[in-house]
Amino acid sequence: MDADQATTQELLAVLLSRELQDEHVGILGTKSEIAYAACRLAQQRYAPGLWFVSGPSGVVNPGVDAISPIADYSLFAGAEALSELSDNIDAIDWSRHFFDFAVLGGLQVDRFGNLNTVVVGDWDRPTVRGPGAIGASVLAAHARYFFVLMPVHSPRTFRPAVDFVSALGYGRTGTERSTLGLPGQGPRLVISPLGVFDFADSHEMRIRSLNPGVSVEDVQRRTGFEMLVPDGPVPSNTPPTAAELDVLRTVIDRTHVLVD
Amino acid sequence: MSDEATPELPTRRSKLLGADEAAAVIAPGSTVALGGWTFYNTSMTLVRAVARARTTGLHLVSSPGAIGPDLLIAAGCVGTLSTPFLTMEQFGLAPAFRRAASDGTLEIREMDGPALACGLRAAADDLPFGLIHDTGTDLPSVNPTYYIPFRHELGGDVKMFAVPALRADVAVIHAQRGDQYGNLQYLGATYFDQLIARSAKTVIATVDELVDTSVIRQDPSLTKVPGMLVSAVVVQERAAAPCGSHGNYQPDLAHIERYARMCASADGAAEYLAEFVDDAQPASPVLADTGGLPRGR
Repeated sequence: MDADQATTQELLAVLLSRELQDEHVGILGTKSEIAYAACRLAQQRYAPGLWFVSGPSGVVNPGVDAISPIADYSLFAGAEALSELSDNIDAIDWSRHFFDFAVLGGLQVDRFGNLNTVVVGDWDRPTVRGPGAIGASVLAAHARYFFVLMPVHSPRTFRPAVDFVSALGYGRTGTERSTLGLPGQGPRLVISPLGVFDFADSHEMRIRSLNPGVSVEDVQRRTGFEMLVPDGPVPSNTPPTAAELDVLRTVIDRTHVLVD
Repeated sequence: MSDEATPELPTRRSKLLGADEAAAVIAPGSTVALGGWTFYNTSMTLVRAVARARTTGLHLVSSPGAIGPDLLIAAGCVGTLSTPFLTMEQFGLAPAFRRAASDGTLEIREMDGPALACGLRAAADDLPFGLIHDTGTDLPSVNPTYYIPFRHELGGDVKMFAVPALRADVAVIHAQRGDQYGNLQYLGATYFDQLIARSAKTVIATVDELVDTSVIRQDPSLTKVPGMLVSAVVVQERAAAPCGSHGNYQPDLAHIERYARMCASADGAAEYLAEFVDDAQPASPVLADTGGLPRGR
């Protein structure tokens, strides 16, 4: 592994870790290796009081120095708490005040930040059958805010409208959250290999900052809708620093899971 | 002193059964709830036994799963699927599920985690339905039977759905160890297993290790599912393999990847079933003659 060059997964983990806030409580679902690394990196460098919970296993603040699937038993070693899912489902599936943030993803995201993990194409004759909605539906609705991690940025994954809303961003027209009276603010940032994206007042996705070497034209070419561009110069993200990569590789990801 | 024999005292009934005997409890067309989580704590020994029996027309209510529910679909056992999540994780989408979904050969009751938790909880509580929040997804449009708009004056402006109770005929779960009376000890996460055990009419379980009740009594806090909820226990070394079993062994990722590859085609799935399901010896001998399984509580 190149000493200075981050892999795509490391890049996403570093970009997310910089956005996590001290004392906030997050929840990670299944297939969360990047988000797990980001939470632990944030605890090491930016947000020592961050809390994060494994949705499947109920582990709170695992402390093992290797990345495992979020449901894995190895994360129990050194964790601060272990709670049963039959109790945790109240916090996950019903409570409207428990989690500050969730980290979600999908087969597709659209310009209003809606997510789809169910199907590509028609629901009853899909071209791609996805894994299903799981708890992302309710976390998108109830967590104070959520992040979207998209490891692939292409016109197939960044859609004008998702084929199926399995987790609500701002809705089909950008107004559905308020119509439903949802407590959460919705999608805060989308993080992809091209950069970091936020949402304008119209609730449409907008470039916030781009990774070095990425142009606005690159983003438009690889996005299936017209991405909003901020007024003035587009900020550039600081690449992962040597210090960030050092902590990531020597403390958090010692078995090198975040390779491309 | 009389030399009369001591009168025989009643003995506590053992719940030990062989895998195929336990699987025979599951009737065609019945509703089966499956525990574990993706690559962990799925009762693969019982999944294989049900697949071997080719029990058809099951309504499978599954925890977020991987090879377990997918293998039952591959074997043609599942007529209706209710699950919030089915994936082979790093090995891609679930192959038999994907094929059945695009062929239209499986009735999919699309749902999310809250609907599953709510349906199980309503069943455990003997209520006809439970309530969840409206989270603005497209799920109700494709599954109107699980997401029924609910209005009541007590609810004010809160938008909710009623979810009907999901009461399984048989729950199939796995614990790391247990005794012959059905006390199940978990050495790691329990996932949905406790809720599933409380919600189903009959619970059958596999354990990696049979221990004496005196061992159970040494740490009763590990008994996450007590034997009073359990009708049958199947003992099999590495009973969850190729899934992992928390605290005992990790998933056999090479085998799971092989499954994902083979089952990508219908022919490959048939080969997999022939090699790893049908030719496999019954997982364990009949350990005790229990005189049949008691009816559900």
